[in-house]
Amino acid sequence: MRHRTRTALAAAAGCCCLATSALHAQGALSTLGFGYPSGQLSTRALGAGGALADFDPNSPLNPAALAVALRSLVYVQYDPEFRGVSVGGGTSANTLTARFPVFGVSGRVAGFNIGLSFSSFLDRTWTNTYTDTQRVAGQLVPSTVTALSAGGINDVRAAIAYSFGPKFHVGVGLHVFPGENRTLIGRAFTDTVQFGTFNQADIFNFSGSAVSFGVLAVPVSHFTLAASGRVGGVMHMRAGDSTVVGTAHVPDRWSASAAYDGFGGSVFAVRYATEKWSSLRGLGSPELPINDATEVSVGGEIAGPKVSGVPMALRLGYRSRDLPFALDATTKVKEQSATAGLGIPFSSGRGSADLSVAHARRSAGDARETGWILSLGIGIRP
Amino acid sequence: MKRRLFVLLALFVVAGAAACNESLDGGGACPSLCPSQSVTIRDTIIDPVLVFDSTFVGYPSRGQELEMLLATRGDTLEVRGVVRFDTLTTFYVPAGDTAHTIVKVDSSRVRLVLDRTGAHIPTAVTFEVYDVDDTTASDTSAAVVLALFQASQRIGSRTWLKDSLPDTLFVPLSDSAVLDKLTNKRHLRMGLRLSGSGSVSLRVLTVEGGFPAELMYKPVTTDTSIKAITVAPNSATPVSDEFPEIRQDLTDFELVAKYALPQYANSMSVGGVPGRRAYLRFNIPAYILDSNTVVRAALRLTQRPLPFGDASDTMIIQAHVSLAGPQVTDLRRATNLITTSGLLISDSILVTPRDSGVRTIQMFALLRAWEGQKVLVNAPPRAIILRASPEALLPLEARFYSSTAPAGLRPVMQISYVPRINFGVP
Repeated sequence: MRHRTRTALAAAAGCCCLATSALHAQGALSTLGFGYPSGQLSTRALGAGGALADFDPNSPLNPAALAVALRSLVYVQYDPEFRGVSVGGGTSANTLTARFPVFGVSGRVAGFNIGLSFSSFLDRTWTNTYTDTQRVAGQLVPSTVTALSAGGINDVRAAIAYSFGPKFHVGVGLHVFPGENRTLIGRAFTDTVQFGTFNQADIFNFSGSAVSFGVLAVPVSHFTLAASGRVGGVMHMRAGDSTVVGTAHVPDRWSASAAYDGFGGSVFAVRYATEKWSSLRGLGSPELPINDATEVSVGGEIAGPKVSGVPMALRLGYRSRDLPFALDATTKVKEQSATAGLGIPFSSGRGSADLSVAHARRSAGDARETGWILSLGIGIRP
Repeated sequence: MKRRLFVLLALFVVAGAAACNESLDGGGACPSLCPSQSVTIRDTIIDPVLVFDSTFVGYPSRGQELEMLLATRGDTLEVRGVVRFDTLTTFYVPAGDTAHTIVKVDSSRVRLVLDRTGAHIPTAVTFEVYDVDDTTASDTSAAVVLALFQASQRIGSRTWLKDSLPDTLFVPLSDSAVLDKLTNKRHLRMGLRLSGSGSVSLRVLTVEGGFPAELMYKPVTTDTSIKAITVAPNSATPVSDEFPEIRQDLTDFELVAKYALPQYANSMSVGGVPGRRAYLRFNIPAYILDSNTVVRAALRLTQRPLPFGDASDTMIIQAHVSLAGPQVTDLRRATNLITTSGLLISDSILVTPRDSGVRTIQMFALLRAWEGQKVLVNAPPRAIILRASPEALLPLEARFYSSTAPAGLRPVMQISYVPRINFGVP
């Protein structure tokens, strides 16, 4: 059995390696503007609806959470999403996308816990192809429009955490936000003698910085409180590698969480977060609708059956949040997700495979979007 | 329990493997959810679009025709042909014997292979063959050669009815005329003239086309095993070894005896016999090419009716891109330095010379190429050459109003373009 489990995990990891870069399509509510904020949640945190994010060392949100990890850890995550979008009750446009939203390493050095992580901050990768008819030189001409965007903005965090005893931990993180976005828009005509294809390709680069800090405290037995924040620095958007086309700030983010672990092997948590996405105004066009977002999540995990003597974790959660970019200034895009997951230890607890599934519903006006997000996170403690 | 776990893991692996093949196209929700993706196309007309234009005559060079047009259309057009047999076989060799000089011939004839594409053939056509050899004549003097098309010089002739006209025909020749050339070691240069019960035109294949005319004659002898001698055409002049290509060209060639089409001011011509080419130099505003993408560029030419040919006569006009650099100031030479047809301009126009109206040539790819050439130190002038296809093989000519014609008639270009759009910045 152990051998077969290892084989399955190896196959999953191999699949992750074969997959291409994280992509998803616009023509969707979730990928408007500068893209989709995946939330920087680990598979474990996602399975609990995001409620455990401030306590989870694999979610690069609260640097103090690194103190929870007692051993070095290498973590990688793969999140494919199956999405359908419909407008006005019409036919659904279905897409299948893949993401690698979080990668991180952490360890303990001289009494400090340090971590380096790479996560997707805003994923702006999508493709749209649709046909329309244009009037060119007085004649109606069928054509096909292709628009695509690849890339996005990433969050690279170097963080350090320190424990003042078993009940109080603090952490601080330095963030840089590199990013590249390759875009192409084109129109192709069926009559290639009369009409030439239009293609315009652009490359945009992003740079920005921020500082984050966090705290974990156990004021009362079995009650854990966590808070984290990020203070954003200046962010630039450049055309190619030179001309600055936009300047803004990395959004400030604040979150607070409370957890109860009074039942053996279980933890239940609630989390509230807010992110000031409007700080990105200035990076794009003035007309881009940007909304500050709040997020409420609730969830937990309980100890399940044991595998090789180590208990599995079973997770359930719910998350409600706003997405930052909208179709117009009056309509926000809302996302509600119901999540579930489990954590499977292997190698006597030296590694774990987390599996989660999230069913997300997004809506704005008469547009509806549903997404099934599968998440597979593998952590190895060497 | 472990078995169930294994099944669950396997399901995740399968789902993950399926997600390796992404399906990204979300265009089904567009344009409702893709408001920033509209690609607006603008139209403009550049008038005038030509800096100037010129018509040059004489294409292809004499003797380089792939075929030879023979035509007679009343008092308007007459095109004749010349085939040179400058080296004749003057002896025959019976089996097991030495060479015998030919002293008498019979069954002299010339074989011609016809191309009836686009031919006008009346009820009856007559092929006439003239002796146009004149050792004193210049090889390049059409007038001197044309003067030899006289009844006294005629050495052969035959008439066919339209229905019995073969694709390969033999015109009988005067045996005495052929023998005279053999015995006096002179050139046999045949002038070909076509006439008929009405306007007539058709084409004869040439050396360049792979099926040249052939001279045949049979030595008169008691030896019945002696076959007819076949002589391929060749030219002995110009004598200098420096001009083998010219000798090759002059082996067979067209001669225009009459081309009396009306001439108009403010016109450019394409086609005709010999061929005419129009050189068009463009002036495209920089703002069109610098920051926009041209998706359509239609050169609009206004055809001028020419009272020549039948209402059903059509000709193809192709546009070629000028390859001549700025150092080539001889525009006639520039009209020979051109791309092959279809390169950068894949469009062509089909015209009836008697018609009038606006004809368009699509050339967006060329405008894009010109934009790309602006980085060159010596960018070639922005010019195209209009030529008939095939050239000089059909007695058809098209006229268009030139750049000096009044507005409304002169060439213009309708350009559709997409300005640079702010797509990547949301």
